[in-house]
Amino acid sequence: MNYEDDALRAPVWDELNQSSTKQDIPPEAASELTETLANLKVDQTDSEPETTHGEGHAEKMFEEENPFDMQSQHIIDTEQIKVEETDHALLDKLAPEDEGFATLNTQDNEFSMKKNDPLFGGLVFSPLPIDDITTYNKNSKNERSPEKRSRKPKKLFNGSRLRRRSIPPISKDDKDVKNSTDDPLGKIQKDNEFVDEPLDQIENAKLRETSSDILKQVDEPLYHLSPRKPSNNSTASREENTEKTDMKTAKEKKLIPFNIEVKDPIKVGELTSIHVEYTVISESPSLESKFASVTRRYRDFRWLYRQLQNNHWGKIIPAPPEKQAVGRFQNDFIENRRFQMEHMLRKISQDPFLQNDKDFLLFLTSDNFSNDSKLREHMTASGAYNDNNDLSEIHISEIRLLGPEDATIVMKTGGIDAEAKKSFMNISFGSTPKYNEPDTFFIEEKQKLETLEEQLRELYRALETVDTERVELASALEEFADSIEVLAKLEVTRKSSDTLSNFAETHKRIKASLERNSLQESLTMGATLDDYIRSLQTARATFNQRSKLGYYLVIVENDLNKKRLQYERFSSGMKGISNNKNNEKLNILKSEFEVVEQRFNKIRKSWEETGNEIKNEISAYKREKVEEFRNNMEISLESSIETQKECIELWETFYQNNL
Amino acid sequence: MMKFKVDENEQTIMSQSVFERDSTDAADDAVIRESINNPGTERQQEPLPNREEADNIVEPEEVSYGKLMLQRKRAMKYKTVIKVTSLERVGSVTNRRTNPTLIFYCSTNLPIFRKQHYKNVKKSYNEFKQLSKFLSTSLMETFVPTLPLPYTSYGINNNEDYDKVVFNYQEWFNRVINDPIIMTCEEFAFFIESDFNTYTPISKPKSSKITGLKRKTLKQLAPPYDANIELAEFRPMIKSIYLNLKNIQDKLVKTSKLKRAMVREQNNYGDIFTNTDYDNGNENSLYKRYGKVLITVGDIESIISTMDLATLYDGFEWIINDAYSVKETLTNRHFLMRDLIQAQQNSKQKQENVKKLRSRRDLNPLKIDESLKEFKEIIKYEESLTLKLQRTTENMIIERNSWINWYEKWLLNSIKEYTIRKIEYERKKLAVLERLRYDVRKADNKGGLSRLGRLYDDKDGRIESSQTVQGDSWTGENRVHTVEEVDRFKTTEFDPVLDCNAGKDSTNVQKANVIDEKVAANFLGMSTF
Repeated sequence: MNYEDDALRAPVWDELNQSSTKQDIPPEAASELTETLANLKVDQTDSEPETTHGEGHAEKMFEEENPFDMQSQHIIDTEQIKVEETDHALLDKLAPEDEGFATLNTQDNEFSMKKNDPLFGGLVFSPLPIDDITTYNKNSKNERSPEKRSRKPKKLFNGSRLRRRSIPPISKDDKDVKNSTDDPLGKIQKDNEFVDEPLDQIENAKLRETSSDILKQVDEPLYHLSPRKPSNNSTASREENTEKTDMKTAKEKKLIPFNIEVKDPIKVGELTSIHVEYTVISESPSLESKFASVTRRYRDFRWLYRQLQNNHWGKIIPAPPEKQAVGRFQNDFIENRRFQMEHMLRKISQDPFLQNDKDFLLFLTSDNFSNDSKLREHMTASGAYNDNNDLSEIHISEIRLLGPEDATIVMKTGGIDAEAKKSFMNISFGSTPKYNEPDTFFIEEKQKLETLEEQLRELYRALETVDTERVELASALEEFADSIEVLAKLEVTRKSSDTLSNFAETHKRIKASLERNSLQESLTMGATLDDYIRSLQTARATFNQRSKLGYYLVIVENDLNKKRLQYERFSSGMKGISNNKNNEKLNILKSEFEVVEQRFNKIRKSWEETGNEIKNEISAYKREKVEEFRNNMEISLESSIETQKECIELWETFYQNNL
Repeated sequence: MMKFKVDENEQTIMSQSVFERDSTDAADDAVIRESINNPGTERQQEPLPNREEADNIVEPEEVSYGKLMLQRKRAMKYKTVIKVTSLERVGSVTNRRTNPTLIFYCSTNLPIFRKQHYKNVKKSYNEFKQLSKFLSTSLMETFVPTLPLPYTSYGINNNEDYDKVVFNYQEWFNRVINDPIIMTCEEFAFFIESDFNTYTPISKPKSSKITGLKRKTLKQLAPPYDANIELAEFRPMIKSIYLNLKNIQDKLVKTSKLKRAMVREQNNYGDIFTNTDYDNGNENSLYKRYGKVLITVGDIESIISTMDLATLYDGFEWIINDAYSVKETLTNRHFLMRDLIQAQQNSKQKQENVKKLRSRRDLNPLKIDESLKEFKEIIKYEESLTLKLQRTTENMIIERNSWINWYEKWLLNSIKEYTIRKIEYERKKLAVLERLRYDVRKADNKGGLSRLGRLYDDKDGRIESSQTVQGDSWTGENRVHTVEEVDRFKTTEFDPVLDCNAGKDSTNVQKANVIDEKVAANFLGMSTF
């Protein structure tokens, strides 16, 4: 998210604020709307209406399923509120209840939030184009509601609903995958799926119910939030736990053999959409079908990298090729890239943790990858398609960090560090919070990695120029040999002519040998260096993950302190005087404080875990890399020794035969 | 009129001289010299005819044209031995480079020399140049060997250069000595006998070349009909030898330059390799060594590129220069042919004139006399040209073959030298690379054959070098090297760099750093381009 968007957002809000204040929703229209919506949902899910589900439970499940539905739930709630409420005093009370909206204090603002959502959506979640179309179609059903204002939220609402609708295929896929891999995560996924159907009915039921009790309505978001929290926490921790067990089991259990090939690069598309598709063939017992063959493009490999990075904080993910390869290796650019991507996939498949990653398996098997990948990205908010060219740049998924629900709230405000950013925009605040790494290990290691990367880069460049020069030399040798041949053809004397043509021949052989050597060098040292550099970037990415988490930690800590202070002051100032209003406010503050505290704990946990993971990874990584590097050094050395022998042999032979 | 007399006179003198030479009386040397000198001086006083060809009319050797073969045969009886003993480069930097002094020993029984033995004759390159210039302008009927370059691509002030230049001049003398026409030219004796740095051509050039614009224009014309196929084909061949060799030279220089560029990059690569901090402590020395070896290999490569130039380029350079002069000499023959054709036409015209006069009734005896005289004159001239051309042609046919032989010999010699140098340095490169092998392999147990699933054998701790006294390990050929040879392969100028690093001797590092590519190049001297 960048500042430009913030800037854009501001005027939009203003406008919306005006419009929303001017207009009031006729209650009938709104209720009509909710009804149609409800109908819609029923249509979509094709299920008989059941209204007996427990509300809280339904909500909870709902949240687990998709943060957006929760959001839409919010929207519905607030709409209901608006429909039923005329008391502005109540509204004032209501406003602060939405804890995430620290800066937005009126109902109108909340409305604008809704309108604002698509803006966010464009940034954090990239809605599917298909969804847009279907949304439009669905909207036509709502066309009868005359108000513009009511229609707009509907559109948003539908959008998110529809998105959810297209989830099943992926979750189904996932289920398949999980079945085959025994991934405990799959269970959650399955649970989610089951929730999918009743949700809508619950919502319907809820919608009907909610219309009865205003106060309850008002409390509802709050009320729901807090019970939800632990559930989220539990899911989050469950996830973590499962991941942990996953890791442990993976460590214990043997590597599942994978056989992966990337081949057949084919140019696809025309003009602007032209790209190269590679066929990825994988064979492994961990695949349900044991064998899969899919086409993927470069972008997808980047996606996989980002996705894995997001799924495994602190782990050094095998890196995809650079976006733009510069220099001489461009000659057989595609082949080079293919080789690198194959290397990447193999590396992933050789890692006990990564090889069972559901995104990896999805990547290997999905037939409808462009949709599936977007969905996955969306669900995990990994930003995998907002891919930065720099492999070491990272994106911390709020969903993974805070769990889906809290993440939604956080994302609405523009991320955890929204405030810090804003302060930068307005220059009103002092310094933005700074994260200082407490553990020198990380500082030193990162420094080392950076210098090494810089040096290796230099080395790589040097090697590239050597290679370029070598290729040029080879072509010059060819010319040289050609010109000698011309002289040989003059046949001034028999002997001289023979010798000259052999001389030319020898030069041509030397040239071929030189070219082979150059190719060998680029395949060994060149590829190794390239791989080394990219993997250093990904290694640096893990450090970035930690420092970013640390940065969030600092921000949230500040926030936490502020909230605590606020709460304490209020509670101490309120002693004796206890009325309804104050109590409520106290409650609000308290819950806010709790939310932030939980958030803080979560972040701290991931921060620590990531740190530990990095420590584990980095030494193994170094050992592996050094070994690889030295192996290639030896190969390179041996090959140049062989080239040298060949060269001597060529000259010796020439000498003996001709001179 | 005068001319005829002179010619007759000359003829007698020349024949006399030949005769006298036959007698091989050394005491008569002075007379011979006089007799050879005289025609030139006499000719000076001659009133020259107005025609353009005037210059070519009179040639002192005219008389002996027909006796060329005889003359050559006789000259062959004399023996001259010249041995270049040393080379001196003194004075300013440019002088040292472009005007070295050659010291040689000369022994001869040619009558035109005053003494039989000349020891420690010192001649500067500039003197050589003057002689060469004189010979090539005055001796039209032979291919005068061009001088080799006074310096080589090795750069000056090193043994390779010294040996090469001495060798080249020895070769030049050998060629000159074997050419009887040059040897019978007394100017060569003057050259040997004159004091150091005092020689200038004593006799005037006996023939003047067509030069400048006229030469250029005439060269554009199609060559006159040549009855002698060998020579008719020789000039285009020489020309394409010249052009092709030039082309090869260009390509060689380009290759050499690219090689240097590659070496630069490779050294840079090695440098970075050496300086990179790989963050794994004890293995850093391995990487440093690897980098050093890369640099050394690059340096050897740069020596090779210098060698390429010094052997092949310089060798070809002489052929090119020689081919050019041969080509020009052949062009001179063409001009001679042209002159002859013109003279023939002239004589025909004069003959017509005489005939016309005869058929006339009013005979003016004076007129007839005059036209007869003219006619005789032109006939004489035509004859002399015919003789001259004939002599030139005959001599050139002989010289052509010897030139081609020389060409082949010299070309192969250059290639041979090139190949030997190449093999030597490529072997050094291999030895350097193989030295590193052990270090890389011992770094862990995964190296070498173990990667192929075979056991890593570490019992002798050293990997055998592939080049030993027994021969090369990679080939079935029986290629026995002497101990010295093997030692030479295994030692390079860069050993201090490599060894000091192996021992991690920090005091030597500084010294080692001094020996970089530049210093390496200095070992061999500066390049010439």
